Amino acid sequence: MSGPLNVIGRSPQQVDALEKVLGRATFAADISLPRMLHGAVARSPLAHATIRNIDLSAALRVKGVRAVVCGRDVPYRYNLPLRDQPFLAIDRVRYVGEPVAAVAAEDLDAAREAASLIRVEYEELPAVLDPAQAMLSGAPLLHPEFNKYWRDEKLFDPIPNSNVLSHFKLRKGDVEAGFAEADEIFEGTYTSQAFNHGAIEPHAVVAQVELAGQMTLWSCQQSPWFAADDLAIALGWPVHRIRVVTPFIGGGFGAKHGLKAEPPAVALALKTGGRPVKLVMSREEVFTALGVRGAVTVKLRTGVKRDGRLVARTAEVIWDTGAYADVGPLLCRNGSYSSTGPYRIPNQSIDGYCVYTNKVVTSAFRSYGTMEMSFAYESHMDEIARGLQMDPVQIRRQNLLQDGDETATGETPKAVGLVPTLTACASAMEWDKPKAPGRGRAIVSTAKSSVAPSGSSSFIQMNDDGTLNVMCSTTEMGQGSRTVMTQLAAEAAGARFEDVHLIASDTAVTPPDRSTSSSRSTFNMGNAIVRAAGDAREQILDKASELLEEPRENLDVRDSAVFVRKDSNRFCSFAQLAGVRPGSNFGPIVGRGSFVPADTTAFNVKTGEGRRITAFWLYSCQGVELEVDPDTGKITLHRVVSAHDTGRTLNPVACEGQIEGGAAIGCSTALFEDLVLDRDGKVLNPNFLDYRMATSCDIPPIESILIEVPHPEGPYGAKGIGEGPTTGIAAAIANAVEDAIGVRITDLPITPEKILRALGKLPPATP
Amino acid sequence: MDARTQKPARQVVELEVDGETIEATIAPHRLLVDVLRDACGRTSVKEGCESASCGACTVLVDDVPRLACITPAADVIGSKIRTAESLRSSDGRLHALQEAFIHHHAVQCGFCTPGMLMAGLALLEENSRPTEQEVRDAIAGNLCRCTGYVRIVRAILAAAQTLGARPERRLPEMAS
Ligand code: FES
Ligand code: FES
Repeated sequence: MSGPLNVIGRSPQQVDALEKVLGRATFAADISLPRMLHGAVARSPLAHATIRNIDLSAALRVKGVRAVVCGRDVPYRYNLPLRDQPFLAIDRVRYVGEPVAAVAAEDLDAAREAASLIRVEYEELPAVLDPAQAMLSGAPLLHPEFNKYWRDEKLFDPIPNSNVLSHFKLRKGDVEAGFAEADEIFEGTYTSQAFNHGAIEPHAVVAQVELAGQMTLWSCQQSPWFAADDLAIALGWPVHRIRVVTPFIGGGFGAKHGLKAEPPAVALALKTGGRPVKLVMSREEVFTALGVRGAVTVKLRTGVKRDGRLVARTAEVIWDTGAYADVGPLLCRNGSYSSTGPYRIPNQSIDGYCVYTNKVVTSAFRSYGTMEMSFAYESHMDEIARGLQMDPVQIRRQNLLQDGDETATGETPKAVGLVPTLTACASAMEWDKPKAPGRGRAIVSTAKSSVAPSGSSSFIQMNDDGTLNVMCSTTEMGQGSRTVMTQLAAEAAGARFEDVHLIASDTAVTPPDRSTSSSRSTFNMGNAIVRAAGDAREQILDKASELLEEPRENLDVRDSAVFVRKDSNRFCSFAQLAGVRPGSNFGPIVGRGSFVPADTTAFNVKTGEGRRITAFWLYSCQGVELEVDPDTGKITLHRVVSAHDTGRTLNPVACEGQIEGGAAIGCSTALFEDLVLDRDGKVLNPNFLDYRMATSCDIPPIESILIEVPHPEGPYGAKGIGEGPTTGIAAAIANAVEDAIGVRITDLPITPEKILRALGKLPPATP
Repeated sequence: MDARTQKPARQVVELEVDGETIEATIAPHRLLVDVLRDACGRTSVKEGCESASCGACTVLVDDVPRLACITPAADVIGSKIRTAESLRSSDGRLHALQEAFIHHHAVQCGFCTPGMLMAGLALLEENSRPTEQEVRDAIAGNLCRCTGYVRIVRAILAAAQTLGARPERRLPEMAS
């Protein structure tokens, strides 16, 4: 891989843009198969109840109904690493909207009609909606049978006989001594609300179980292998019998990672004699039953020296996981250890509690805990700066991690791009100039890890015309992975960009990959593809050397051809080397590559120690400038500056697209979004009219800055980018509001009403 | 039979979709979004909310943008319906809006894209020289979770310029 780069670092036309503007891109709900049935789900109207009886008879009588299933037909549980969630509620419902039964019928009207006729006798139980209440001893238990669930004990520690499914502990240095040494101590509590992922495509899946025993799911699933694996364990099947194919995905943001709409569809497909079943969720179902970014409360206490040095911190974090675990245990771990922020703090004590409540299940959300945590630690940081009368950028710069520093878990990360990122952000914000009158502004810094250990693999196969097919299980959901993976394969194989075809996301065809999540794909899948392309390139060189009768060392591969270095008139094209047709002199070319970041380690669940718990970190610095109308409490955002250490920018426009979209989600969730439940646990705003998401008129200009501090193990030095842009916006807005009008809002979203209350213009909220 | 399961009478109708006449059998309550997707093969018409609040199902009915998820199919018999699949000309050339969406990377997941294109088209057919704010207003009913709208707005403004082909007119200065 010597010589100038041809494809990396450019922004070619996105490989899937044409199909999308033509309206031809196929999403799961667009799929139609012969003899396909349509499914509908009957859901719990209660937050917590035991199921006395389910009467399916009326549903079965509806004309066109072909299958009706309930929990006793599919007594399986899923979720990694804690198998607590049934396909359909078995003997108890734990949130309003939980699937209780499902129907497959010849048309959707019949399926819906039948689902509405399913009669369930419930015996209501006391519900717990507030995680702080749910943690108390004596609170009603959601899962009295918790100990019977399989769980991976190496990953997390529950508190027995409680609703706390995971208690994460991290102890570093000597916290008492640290506080004793501090000149000042600051304390604060910060709350992030529950909100929906807001992907515009509602979840959809088509499931088919062939009579020979093979199951196929065409599903809007971010992580096809992860889902197949979870399903296989639940059913007790080998994974190869479950094929997950992902068509285009209409936005994921975490909502489509892991089993979501699939379990009821699978339950039906097991009962329809081989007929495929399509299940398309309504927007209301997406809001009430297909995952949520859960609420989080963070209590921080930090000891600082008068000069601004952070010396000690305790953090207590409560994660509301809802009725089932999903990602809860890992979210609690990764989020809680992130409460340090991107800073050097020698003495720390962190306790994270992941708690069951009778609410829709918390699922992964873009930035996985860091958004909630950075709202706390970066709000807190500005309060510290204010208390010490220091410049907020200066105090950050002084405490930012640098190469050689140790993180909370005891890791010494490499290639830490925080300082240059902060410098670039501050200079774009013109921080050294006085701010415009009436405005408030702020800059925050964040660090986010990526899931580890986690493997990816890829095959690259040469076609008859010398073009390359790249098999890759990373799913395209708008983040541009198809284009970037194509670039990486082309660069590493020596092919032209247009000669590389990405074959994406079909577990029967594309080899294993952990997930499309955690900003991991560019780094992990990228490396796997670079290795596979390197392997293919070796084979190409061998054959070219034979054909051209030149030793390999004299050959160069570029532009889908192999050249004799000293005589560029002598070359052979990839097409001449393609050993596909019968009678060809050469055998087929198939490169393979797999990648797991070296030396990544597990956590010690007792101490929270982990020497290398992530392959890389996303470093981000984000600035916001805004104005607050003191009479109405309305916030007007004037600009966002978002600076990110990409390691190396593989595709500038794709990175900017991720930044703009991620920052926009940050703005929307900081200002507007809030999933509201009534006292009985029913969602009050399960639609886009009552649940406000930012429109084209709400988003300010967003300036992207890409900083390159090459990561030694990244493909061409690159790291992920996807989650960085959502991490810091909420804290930046809260800090800029205080800068503008002198009041601090510590619970999200930051609404006009909260601002007016803080200004004393409205009476305080009644709890 | 249960009265509730009694199917209302179906009706054979002709719809004019993207310049084609399509015969479809529809029940009176059928919504245009379902008829376009299921009976007319127009899966580019997306359904994101089924309650007139996301814009993904935007189509043009007699040149006016309509939300297909709340429009009864029976209401548009005899009207000209246009979906995003009508944008490409018969000789295969892309519409300036499609070109601009590709060129300006205004497409991420692509789920909002057909609706955005139709909202953009309705605007440009009525106002060939929109300001940035007019573009933002025109697509304010179309949600996009991926892009922050930055490049969608840019692409519609660029398409306006291409279509207007007024050489003296510069692309309006974008704030972002
Ligand atoms: S589906 Fe029609 S507006 Fe959302
Ligand atoms: S591109 Fe995904 S919703 Fe707009």
